[in-house]
Amino acid sequence: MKSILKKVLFGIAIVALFNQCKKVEGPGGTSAIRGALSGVNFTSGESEIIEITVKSGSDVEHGDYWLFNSPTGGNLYYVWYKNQNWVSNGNPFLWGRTGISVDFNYSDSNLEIANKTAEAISLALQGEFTMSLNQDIISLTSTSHSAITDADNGTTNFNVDISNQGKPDVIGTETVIADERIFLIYGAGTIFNETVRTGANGIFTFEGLQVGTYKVYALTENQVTGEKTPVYLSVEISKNGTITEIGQITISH
Amino acid sequence: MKIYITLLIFFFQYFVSFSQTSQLYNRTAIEGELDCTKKLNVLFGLQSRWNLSATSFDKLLFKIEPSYTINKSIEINAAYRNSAWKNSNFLLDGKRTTFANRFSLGLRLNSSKFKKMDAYFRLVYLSRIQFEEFKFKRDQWYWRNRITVKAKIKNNLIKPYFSVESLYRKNQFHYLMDNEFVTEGMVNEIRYMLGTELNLNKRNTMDVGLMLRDYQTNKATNFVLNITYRHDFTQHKKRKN
Repeated sequence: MKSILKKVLFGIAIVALFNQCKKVEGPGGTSAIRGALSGVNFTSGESEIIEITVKSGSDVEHGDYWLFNSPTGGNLYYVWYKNQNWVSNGNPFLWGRTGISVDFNYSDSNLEIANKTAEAISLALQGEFTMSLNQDIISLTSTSHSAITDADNGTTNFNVDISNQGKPDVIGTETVIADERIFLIYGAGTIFNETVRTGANGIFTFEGLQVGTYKVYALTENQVTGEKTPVYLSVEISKNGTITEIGQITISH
Repeated sequence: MKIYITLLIFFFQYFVSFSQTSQLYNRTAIEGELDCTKKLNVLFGLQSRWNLSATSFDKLLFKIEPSYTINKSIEINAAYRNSAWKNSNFLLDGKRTTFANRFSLGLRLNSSKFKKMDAYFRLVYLSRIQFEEFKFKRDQWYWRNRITVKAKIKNNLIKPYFSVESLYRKNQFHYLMDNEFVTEGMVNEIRYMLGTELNLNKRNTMDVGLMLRDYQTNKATNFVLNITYRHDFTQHKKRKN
């Protein structure tokens, strides 16, 4: 009876020994993570869209031109028309601008003029615009968001219309963000385990954490697509009863 | 050192708890006691707790409580308890079961030397410092104090008793204040127990009592009805309360 009892006790003691509380990342500790959230307000700009409705060859004269401009610092263009029957060059040589010559005949239809013009422009462009052609309407859309000096019909009687005014992106000043959610992931997890909101001064704290590694993230918003993506910061708590400062997380909002 | 097993008691306990949330729990335990020497005594036991309302397993506890008797009035009491239950943080560590370890050290005083008082009732005072560590909870430090009054009546069948126990948690509150962690304690529970022992015969005894657990943190109360049946497998009989 004694030996059986001793064995039972020994067995239970061994089991108890292996059941020690080995702590892992998560709640139940005495440490904290603290940081601050700041954000930059971002307002998306717009592309400039220029629509040029051309006329037939009989409405165009040798040396006629019209103007369009790239964003600030880029090329300024003039598109001029050249009839081979004329002896004179006809190029207006506008100072400071890049000339795009279009060969034409007086018998060309408006569609032929549009095709020849679009072909010449596409060879000259350096990525400032994307171009499309719909019948006799040539559309130029700026590839960047910026204010562009309006195009002009010059000496032609083409209709040059600015269907959308270009606007630059506006990046605001960096400010603290209050009442925004911050997320905490324990260890190597992928889904958040805790969430808190920032205070009036943008500061947030996760308390009651154990020693280990964590990931803190806030969501930043792409103002063009509206998509929210996390901005991660890895944190390691190495000692109980300490506050680990992670500094600032900056997001766009 | 030669250890003598002088006394061995096995008994079964049956607890039924009615809480305010109408949860009904069952506790079943098997315990034994070893008298290693005249002064050194070890109590050990295994207890399972079931939530009858939810028909689910609640906890499994294993304990060892050595105590050393200095004299008839003073006894040093130590305890270790390991408990296991279903891990609600399974996603954090992938373990289906989580554990806690509890250690305590205390002093038991009884009034056996005060003969006048002893004629009518006996006082037992137990003071313990208790530490318990968890995997996903903060460590808990308690200072527990219990006074038990045992009436002495001529009736051999019943032995009524009443006890009050306060549980002071040293680190009840843990928060950040001006860049410093602050810990504050409070008495977060008071337990009142009224009951009686029933000596059926030399080997069979019962204990019937009602415990009121008065939680100070949320002003909730919890009743535990204790109906214990003990069977002594040995010829001797010796128990402590």
